[in-house]
Amino acid sequence: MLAIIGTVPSITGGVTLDNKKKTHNLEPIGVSRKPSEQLQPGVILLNRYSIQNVVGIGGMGAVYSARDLHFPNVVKRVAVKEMVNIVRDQNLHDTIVRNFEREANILATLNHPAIPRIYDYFSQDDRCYLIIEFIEGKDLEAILMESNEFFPEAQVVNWAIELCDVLSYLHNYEPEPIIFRDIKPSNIMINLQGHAMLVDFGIAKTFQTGQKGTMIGTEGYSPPEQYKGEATQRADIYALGATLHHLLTKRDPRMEPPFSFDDRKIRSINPNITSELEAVIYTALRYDPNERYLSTEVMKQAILASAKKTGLLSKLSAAIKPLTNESSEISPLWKFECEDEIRGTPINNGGSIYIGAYDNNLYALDATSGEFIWKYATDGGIVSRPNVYEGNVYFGSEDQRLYCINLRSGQEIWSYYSNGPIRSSPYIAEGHVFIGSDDAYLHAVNALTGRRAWRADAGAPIRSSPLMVGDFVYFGTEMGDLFCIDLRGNVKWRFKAKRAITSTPVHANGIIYVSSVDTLMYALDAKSGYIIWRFRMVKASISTPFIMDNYIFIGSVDSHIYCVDIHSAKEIWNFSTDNQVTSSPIAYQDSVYCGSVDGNMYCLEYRTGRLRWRFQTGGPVTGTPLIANNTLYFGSNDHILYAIVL
Amino acid sequence: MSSFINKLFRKNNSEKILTPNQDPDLNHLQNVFIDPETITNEKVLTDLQEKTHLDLPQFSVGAAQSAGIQRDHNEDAIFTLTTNLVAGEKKVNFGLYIIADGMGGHENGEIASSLAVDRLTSLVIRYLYLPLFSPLSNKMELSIQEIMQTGVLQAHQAIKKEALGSGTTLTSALILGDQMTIAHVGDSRAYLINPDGTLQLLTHDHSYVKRLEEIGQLSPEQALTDPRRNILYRALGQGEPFEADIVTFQLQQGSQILLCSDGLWEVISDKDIEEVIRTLPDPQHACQTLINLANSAGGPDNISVINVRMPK
Repeated sequence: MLAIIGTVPSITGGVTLDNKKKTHNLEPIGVSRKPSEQLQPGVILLNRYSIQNVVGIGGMGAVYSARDLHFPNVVKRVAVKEMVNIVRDQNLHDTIVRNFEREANILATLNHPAIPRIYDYFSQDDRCYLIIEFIEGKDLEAILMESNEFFPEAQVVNWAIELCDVLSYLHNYEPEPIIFRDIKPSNIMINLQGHAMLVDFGIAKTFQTGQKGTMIGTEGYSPPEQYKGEATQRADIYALGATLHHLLTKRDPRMEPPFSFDDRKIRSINPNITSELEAVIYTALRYDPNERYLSTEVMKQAILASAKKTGLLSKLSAAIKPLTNESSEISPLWKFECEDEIRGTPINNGGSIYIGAYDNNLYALDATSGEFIWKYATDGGIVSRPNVYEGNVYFGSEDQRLYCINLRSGQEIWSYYSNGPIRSSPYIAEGHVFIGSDDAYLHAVNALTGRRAWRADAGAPIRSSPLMVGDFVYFGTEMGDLFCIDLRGNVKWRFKAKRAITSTPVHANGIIYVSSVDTLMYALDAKSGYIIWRFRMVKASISTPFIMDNYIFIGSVDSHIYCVDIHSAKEIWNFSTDNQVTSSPIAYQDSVYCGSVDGNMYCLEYRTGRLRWRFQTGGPVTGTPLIANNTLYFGSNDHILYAIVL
Repeated sequence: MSSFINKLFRKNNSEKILTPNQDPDLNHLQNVFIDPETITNEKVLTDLQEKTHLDLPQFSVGAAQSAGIQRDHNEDAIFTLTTNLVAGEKKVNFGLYIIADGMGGHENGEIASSLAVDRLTSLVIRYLYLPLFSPLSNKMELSIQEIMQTGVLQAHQAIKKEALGSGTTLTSALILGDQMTIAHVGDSRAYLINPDGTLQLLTHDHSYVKRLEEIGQLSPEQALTDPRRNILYRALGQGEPFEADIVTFQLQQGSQILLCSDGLWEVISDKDIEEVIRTLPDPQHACQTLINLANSAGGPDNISVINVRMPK
């Protein structure tokens, strides 16, 4: 069998992968010139091919587009594939030239619509050239990069079938089967008619041998056996499977550890793909070559069979959104209805739930029965999350005041006036209440007397809630500042995001995590404010991050709930709701709970983001849920506070 | 409670305008200015040292390198930069440590590893280190992780351009305050040595054999001797796109970091590394000893070691 088209078999094939002792024998091999010097536009090869520009660069040379001057009256474009022979050792040098020639000879005999025709072959100095049919179109890698959406399954199936056909042609070639060896999106062109063609603009090299003996194979699409230098039809089948996986998931396997396709199940990333097609692709991707399809003909039949089964052949869309548990199956433990929207977040204390509403009341309810205990009326809506300290409950109101109410009686102990609506939530530490206001001050108020200790001018409304870590207080402003101030109100550091920070900062491992309306979530060094990492969402976020294990969860106006690795800022998963997520997620046991403006409370598996259930309310859910005594409490803009036993 | 109240009311409070660095608090320095005459016994001296140490966290760093026994030249590159600045309110506590293990084609391996060090270092210095000392501080636009990622990618491009066909590993640790960010590609390693002396691997080898071990195709014993263990699936300088693994960890007081090339970890067990680190109080001595151990075990490859110790 030949391992051909676009690879240089003598380098990639039979070289012993072992290693350090051998390296001395390889001493004469060296780089004699820098092959990165490409032909300049205007250079004419053989008095015939006028180089226009570079269309691809690989390890052994480049591919150019050129004009064939033998057709002076029309512009005939050809592709010029160049191989620069950088090897100084004469034997190896000659072998490489021979192999290139052999590739040219074989290409010259191929005749298939999905394979470009070859026109000419020659060598000049230490460079060899192939003149090939120029394919108008784009390679799949470029197409992948340009599109934001997933490809329709039908389109990928079409390409898959065409690729199976051309590989079958190569694999059945006489006298010897031809193994392409390097199927990947950048080697597949989609021509102007939309058909897939096999090309090689990459001038691939799978392995690199070197002085040290350490070698590099960076092919995310290659099967395991290719590392041993083996290449059979089953290797092409694997690489085709890997390519289809990339096309359907848009996850580049070169960015992932080899052979990790099982960790990225197609349907968990792109649930619109049918399980039948997924199964075909995973058969192609089996670790053991013997467990893959016997041939590309068999694989094509499997693809066709799956398409028939799912109705895809007749272009019927089979996109069914799987839902594990519909809301109708969940009945709340109790519901409590207020007279206006609940936008905020409840707390639990001593068997009672405290929640503010836009009917201006703070409610105290029995946590197990939902029975009304008392309510306290302010003069404005309440979004501020209450906080309990030494027998009293503290919260802010749109009426510009911070309240201190006795937990048992519901009677006011004191109230404190700011000069703007209070949407921030109180942080209480060692006898003092810290709270932001739309009057642009952070207020520090004595918890017992209601007297101001100080207030600090932040220059913009503060809707973010303060967080205290050690001797420092952190909070965001609507101007996009994140302040770190000491307990006397002096600035330790100040970080500026491009838009408002409405989100409340959270702390772990010496790092402050906060999101911004500028679409980013930031990790900032708590001591200095230096940015450790940024995580980009599609749209603004006012959601407060939640940390569990090494995961950080956050909601965004782009309608997604994200799970991000806390150390690397890499996205672990995202879950798409049907509207903005301004609610903040919480994690409990192995689930994440988060509301959405689409009216649902979602319960997701926290490692995968898979939907466990959702519960539909009659209005947007914007507050953060609370879990106490294995019960989930949350309010909705439908005026109702829900309690659901988990 | 009382300390909090003190802090809260130490100044005549009421209103503050939040502008930075208005009010440098020099109270803590009073503890340090003790008249030498009054130092009469060791306890006071120890107290003084402890206080000094607390106020000026000082890394101590060792680094050593050897071509090994079986190689006639060295393709590893090594870099260390340590800065401790305490000036009034301004405290900068910075370290950058890099090991790169080059490979491929005649002298190109060492070109690749040295390019990797150059490019990453120059980017970090320009976008991270210099702004630390500029009057417009806190103007850092990019995150530390983005700067590291960009540095690695620029190194990758430079190698592709200037040393085609070669490649290199790159394992680097950037310390700023008590946060350490590791950028890593290949099979050099970064270890954390916890204050209790236990060794913890922070990086993930991008090697084919390691991957086979992870998916259960090879046992750890087989992996150690598999002839393919030198094949990397990710390295700087190779054509395929990739990202460096970048993670940030908080460093505890008294913890240590060890960076090394595979010339060390392939021949010296974790247990022996732990032992050397534990018994030798001087990081330079520890690095030298590790190199000697690797060479006495045959020294089959270039060996590079960096050991950084946080103050206790």
